[in-house]
Amino acid sequence: MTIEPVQYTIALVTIGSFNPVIISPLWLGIKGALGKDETESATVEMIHRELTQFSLSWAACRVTPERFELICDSIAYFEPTKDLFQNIFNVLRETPVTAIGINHVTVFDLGDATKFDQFGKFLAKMDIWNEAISNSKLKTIEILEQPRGDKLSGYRNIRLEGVSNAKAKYGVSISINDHFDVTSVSDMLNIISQNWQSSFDKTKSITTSLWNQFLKRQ
Amino acid sequence: MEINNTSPKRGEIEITVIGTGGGYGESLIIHDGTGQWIIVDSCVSPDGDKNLPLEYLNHLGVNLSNSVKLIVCTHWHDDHIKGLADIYHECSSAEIAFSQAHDQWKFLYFVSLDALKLKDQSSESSTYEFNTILGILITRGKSYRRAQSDQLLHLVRLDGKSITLFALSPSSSTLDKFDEEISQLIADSESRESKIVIEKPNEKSVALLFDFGIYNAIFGADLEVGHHSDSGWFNILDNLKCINRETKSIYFKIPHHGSKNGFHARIWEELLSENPVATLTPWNRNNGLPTDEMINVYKRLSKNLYITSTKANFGKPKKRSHRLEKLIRDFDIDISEVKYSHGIIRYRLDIVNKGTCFNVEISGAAMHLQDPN
Amino acid sequence: MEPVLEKAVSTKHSPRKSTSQSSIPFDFLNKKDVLENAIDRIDSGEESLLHHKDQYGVSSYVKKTLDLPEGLILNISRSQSTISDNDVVRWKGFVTEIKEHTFTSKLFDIDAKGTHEIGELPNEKIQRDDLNLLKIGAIFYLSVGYFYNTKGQVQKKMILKFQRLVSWSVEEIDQAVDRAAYLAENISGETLEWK
Repeated sequence: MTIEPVQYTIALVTIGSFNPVIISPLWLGIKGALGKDETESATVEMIHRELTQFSLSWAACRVTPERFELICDSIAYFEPTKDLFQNIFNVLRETPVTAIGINHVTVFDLGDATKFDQFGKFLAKMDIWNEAISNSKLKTIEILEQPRGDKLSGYRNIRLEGVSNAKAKYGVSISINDHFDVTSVSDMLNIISQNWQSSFDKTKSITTSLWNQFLKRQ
Repeated sequence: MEINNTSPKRGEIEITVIGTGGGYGESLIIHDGTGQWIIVDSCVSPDGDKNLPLEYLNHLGVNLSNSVKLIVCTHWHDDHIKGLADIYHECSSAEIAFSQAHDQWKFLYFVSLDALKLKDQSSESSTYEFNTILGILITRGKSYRRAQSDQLLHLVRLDGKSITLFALSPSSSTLDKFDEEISQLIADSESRESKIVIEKPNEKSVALLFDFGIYNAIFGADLEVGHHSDSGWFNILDNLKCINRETKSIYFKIPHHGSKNGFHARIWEELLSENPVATLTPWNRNNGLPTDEMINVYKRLSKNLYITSTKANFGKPKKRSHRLEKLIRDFDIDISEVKYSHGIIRYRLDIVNKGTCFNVEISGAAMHLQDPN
Repeated sequence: MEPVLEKAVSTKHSPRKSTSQSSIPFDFLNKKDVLENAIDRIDSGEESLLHHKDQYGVSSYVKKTLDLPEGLILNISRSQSTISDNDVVRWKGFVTEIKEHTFTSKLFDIDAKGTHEIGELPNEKIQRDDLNLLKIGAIFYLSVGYFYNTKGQVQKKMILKFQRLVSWSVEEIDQAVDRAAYLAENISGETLEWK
């Protein structure tokens, strides 16, 4: 197994009050947030008052009246994704928003069933179940940091669960929701610019700490 | 830190040059003989962890909040100003000196506009430093000292003699032209996704004259010779009142990293004594400065020639995995690392006891460039 | 475990107000029917569930934080995801010089702080969309590494993308003007007299 993720997806999620029909690749092109080719090659799945969903070659966007999501699963485009998010809300400055989450979804490959099992036992006391059931296995665990260690309003939610896909047959997904409470778009943009890099640094330190402790016990 | 941590005594002048190898800035630290210190520009280690002038002064045990009396910002370049806001913050009793365009409002509007880019992280960090400095200035309710040719920036008396620091540049006409340039920079700021690049920043650079009684020193900053008699070194040579033609400088901080643009024979003939103590700091532009040709020129002019590190050291990319290194080469990307080489040269002269030559100490990557003859 | 988890989730935030991302998307199914179903179900306010299967072969229905019907997902079968962090180097740079066939830049490794680099890159690698962004001071992102393509194959790739930011808003210009006015009002320069 390696302690580098085989997959890394980020999602910028904001809660507020949105008008999904406004946000589209064409609109982004007009505003200068996308180039002509990017605008024309975008795939629009839906534009509706309840849901807008479209994809670029490097990111995807989903908007409902209460929630805005911008997702990217290529590390080469994480910074442009942040720029795109900032661009959208630099234009929509009057949008009421109450929270912003910088989400990091990292998938690690444990390599084999034995290591996968050992990891579950490392995370939780599985033997407490043996009295009542046989062959207990951990599926999901979720940890909340609240208040935040950096004293900003919000919390950090860490969720681990088993996944199985082409890149990681015995995979563990570690999803870190770096949640900040905000009062306005201006506040939100400041939070993003001031905490963007530290959010990544913190994710790395959480996952590294976890793997180092696991490997020490092997 | 390798260099000796003994503080200069009363009556002992100190000029310390800190260099970083060509891409991470340089700084001058001056002791005026009375226990007061002056810091000219700033530089930080590449990881941002160490503010090098503060590290040096802390090494000497200097009380930053009481003893540092003046901070001079010689110009706008990143490599001269990074960390200057921290210095100003720590040195709470220091005055600060800088030059600015004559049209103050326009200048401040440009600084404010560029500071907005910080949110997008597309700003030159020098504007960030400057913006922070202005904020501290306001909080302290102080004025800044105007750095412009013939302006006095610092004055103390030692045993009845005056010890002064004068700005030799920029000239008034240079600042007029800066006004025009600011207008263009504001128009350019409309493109928020690019860094503002100041045209010819070196013309606005603040060269200094440090006069300590019977001797004096000239710090050339990045000032280039210029093309007109009312700017650059020609203006200093022909028009300034603060220069005493009878007393030539025994120390010269060679301007603009020893480039040809910062050299003119008249500077050496008319302003400097024979065989002055001279310091070079390298830079990473193009093939690096100073060039070998210019080093030889300076070696002929001074046997007391020092450099803070070997000239800009770059060639290979940063060390990465073999796979990635090969991949970078496969894509025909020509990359070279700008290496960090920390060097300190300290010059001390006891003027009370009528010392006649500097006591020189070097540490880190600094070296004495020997005269080939 | 189950009761504790429920309590932790409900204490400070409801699932709807959570800024966690939606579940990792999977393959898009029958687009037209699903779209029509999606609109119907959203309009009717019916909550949808996500069918999830893990490596134990266990299926479960998990309440989603986002009301989207099953099958309607984000089709980000991106071609650019990397194998791992070890296989990519990322820089943020800005243009310092433009030549006929190349441009010179100052490069900062995004993942490894410290010294910077000087890079000379071929102009032909600039995407057509970004050509008008090439100028002195222009900021860009450069990544070089091993990436998966849409077929799951590994490819060596160099990705060069110039930063694109929207124009200043009236509010932002006003902010700068106000700040300049505030600074001008509160800052003054002095000159020392020497006799």
